[in-house]
Formats: sequence, structure tokens, C-alpha cells
Amino acid sequence: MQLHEEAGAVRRETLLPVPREEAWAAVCDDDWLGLEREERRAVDEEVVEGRRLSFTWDGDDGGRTLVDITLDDAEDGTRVTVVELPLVTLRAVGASVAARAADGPRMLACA
Amino acid sequence: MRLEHDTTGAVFAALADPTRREVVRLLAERPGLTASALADELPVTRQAIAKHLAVLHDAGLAEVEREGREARYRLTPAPMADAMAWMASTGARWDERLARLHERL
Repeated sequence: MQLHEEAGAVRRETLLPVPREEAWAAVCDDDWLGLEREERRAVDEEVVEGRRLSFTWDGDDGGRTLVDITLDDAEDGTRVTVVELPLVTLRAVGASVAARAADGPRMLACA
Repeated sequence: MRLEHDTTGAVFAALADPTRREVVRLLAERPGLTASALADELPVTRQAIAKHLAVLHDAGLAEVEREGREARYRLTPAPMADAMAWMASTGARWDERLARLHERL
């Protein structure tokens, strides 16, 4: 599901001029976000080696947010995409997607 | 830094629903609309409108004025400005972090 500004999702992208394995090592390096992850009480949600790091932490206004960092191969290196949005919002968006999907056969949706 | 209520999240959650965004648009154009008037303008029931107004109210985006028998609603957009400010400052933080990521290569 594409999350965009309208849903309160902050999105930033950058191109790192190195192969994906090197970019992944830099993203996972404790020197990059390590201290902040500790201060903001980060909890890992999903780690897909070389591809995706997703965690929750304390956002700037006091609510918990989800941070999703994905790595993709690009022509001149690796594209790193970051999306951050409040968990409260994510749950509401998930709930409304589930409600719209409820027109079909009944399925249990967890939001 | 820790607040009791995640106001930014509540604002975006409130605006995540397209019908609620329509309610916000209508209230911005015509402050003081009643729930019935809103239900007339939109393809949803009065009950659904009441639920949407409650969500907007809880997110701090709408205030209600009881005038006679029908309640009238007004947009209180300040939390939207706060939410936009959160997006800008959080985005700026990621710009800084990503700049540091580049420097480390």
C-alpha cells in the first residue's frame, strides 16, 4: 500500500553511490542511528537482510511512529527510501482499507 | 518529550478518511453547518456524519455550538497546522540523518 503525504507519512529518498551490500552495512551501522534508536526506544518490527529495516520509535511530538527504510538497486548505486508515520495514523488507514475490502467475502483483518 | 495524546497521529487518522476530508472542506467553506446539512451534501447517512464529526472533534479539528435544537459545527484548523509542522520538522530531521549517512561512506 502506497503511503503518501495525505496520510501523514513523511517520505525521503537518497541515492548512495555504493552497492547495496555496502549501503545496507551503513544503514545498520550503530554509528548512524544507534544513539537515537536508544534514546527513542526503538523496537525492530521487520528486518529483511540487505533490503528493509523497519522499526517503531518515539517520534518528535511524543507519539510512537513507524520508520520504514528500504534499499533498492539503482543505476549508480543504491536508493534508500525512508517513510515515517505515526502508528495511530497507520492503524486508522489500515482500518479504513479493511472496511472498504469488507465488501467482498468476509475476512479477518488485523489493523 | 512524551505527551499523553498523540495529536499529530490523531489529526492524520481523522483526515485519512475521504468522507471526513469532505466534511472538513464543507466546514471550511461554510462554518456553522449542522449534521443534517452535511448529510444532505454527502452520500452518507446522518449517523455516519455524526461518527465522522465525533472523530474530527476528538482530533481537535471541529468544535460544536448548540444553537436551539440543532448543533452547528465549525472547523478548528490549528491542529492541522501543528501536524503540517510535524511533517516539515520530521522531514528535515531525515534530511540531516541521510546527509550524515552519505558522509560516512
